[in-house]
Amino acid sequence: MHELALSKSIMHTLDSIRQEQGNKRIKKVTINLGALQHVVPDSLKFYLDLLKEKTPFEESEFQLKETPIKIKCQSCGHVTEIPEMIMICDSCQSRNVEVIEGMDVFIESVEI
Amino acid sequence: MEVKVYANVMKANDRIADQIRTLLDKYNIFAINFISSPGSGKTTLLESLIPHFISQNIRPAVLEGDLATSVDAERIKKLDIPVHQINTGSGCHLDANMIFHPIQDLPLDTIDLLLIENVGNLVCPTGFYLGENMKIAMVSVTEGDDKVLKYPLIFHVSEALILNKIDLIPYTNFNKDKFYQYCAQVNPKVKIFEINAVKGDGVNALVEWILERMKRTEPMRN
Repeated sequence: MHELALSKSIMHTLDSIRQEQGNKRIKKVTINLGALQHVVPDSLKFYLDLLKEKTPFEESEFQLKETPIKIKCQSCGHVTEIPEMIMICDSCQSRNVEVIEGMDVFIESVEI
Repeated sequence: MEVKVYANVMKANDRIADQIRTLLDKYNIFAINFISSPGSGKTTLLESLIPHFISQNIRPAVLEGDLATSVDAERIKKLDIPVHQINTGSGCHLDANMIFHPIQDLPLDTIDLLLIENVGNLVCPTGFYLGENMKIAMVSVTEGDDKVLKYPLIFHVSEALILNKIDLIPYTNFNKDKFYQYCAQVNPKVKIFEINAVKGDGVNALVEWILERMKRTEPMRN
């Protein structure tokens, strides 16, 4: 549902990355999608391919990588990968856990 | 050649949100971003909350986000406080850029508490930091007890969760035990308030909690 807004933010961020890289041509962009963001990869890809037309990214290929949710127990330090949002440590059953992966959408790397 | 960049795609939004935060800090304004589905009762909640704040000498103002119409802002205007309606058109959420100028149109030196009613949506508004101190999520009984599990991110990043239309439980299949179980799964630390915004039931406890929270002014980022 928020894929269009997200793809606009990605294109905007790519613009600054391109400038930081001396305006070199970007061949490939790897985007990391945290599972908690519930992004539909096909939909995001559709918008990115639409938005890149007639921009310096027209030839760029977008690769989308999905990252599962990982939580870290603040009591015993155990890290658990969780298929759905259940904030319980599977080692000591503590509820004192923090999400350490899977919350964000970020551009991981670019190939120039 | 591959270059690792690890660039947050919300950078452009967050930069403006930080400017909003600086502005709010300058005027000592506490800001709350209210997020829920359409029709869960956000505007009714604000109508119920605002007189309580005024009676406590807290001066509120409201930013209303909606796809279209100024119906909500007209309702808030009747309470005689500053209000600004933002129409997002096809946009399903408020972002920092949309509220940056409207905030500056408010009489900031006469405001203590900025209540931002986001566009009714449990997905998109979650990712866009607006410079607020905290997010409060709301779900109403008629939406079902499983909303928290279906849209976990917003409930995970909110400091408080309001269960509205509590009086309607006898007429629905809403299971309160399940609801609390799901909340504990998604956000064990969340503070839950059961209210009936129309009648004002349960609103006192929420007001007291917000007033207490306002004493700690640190902003909460996603």
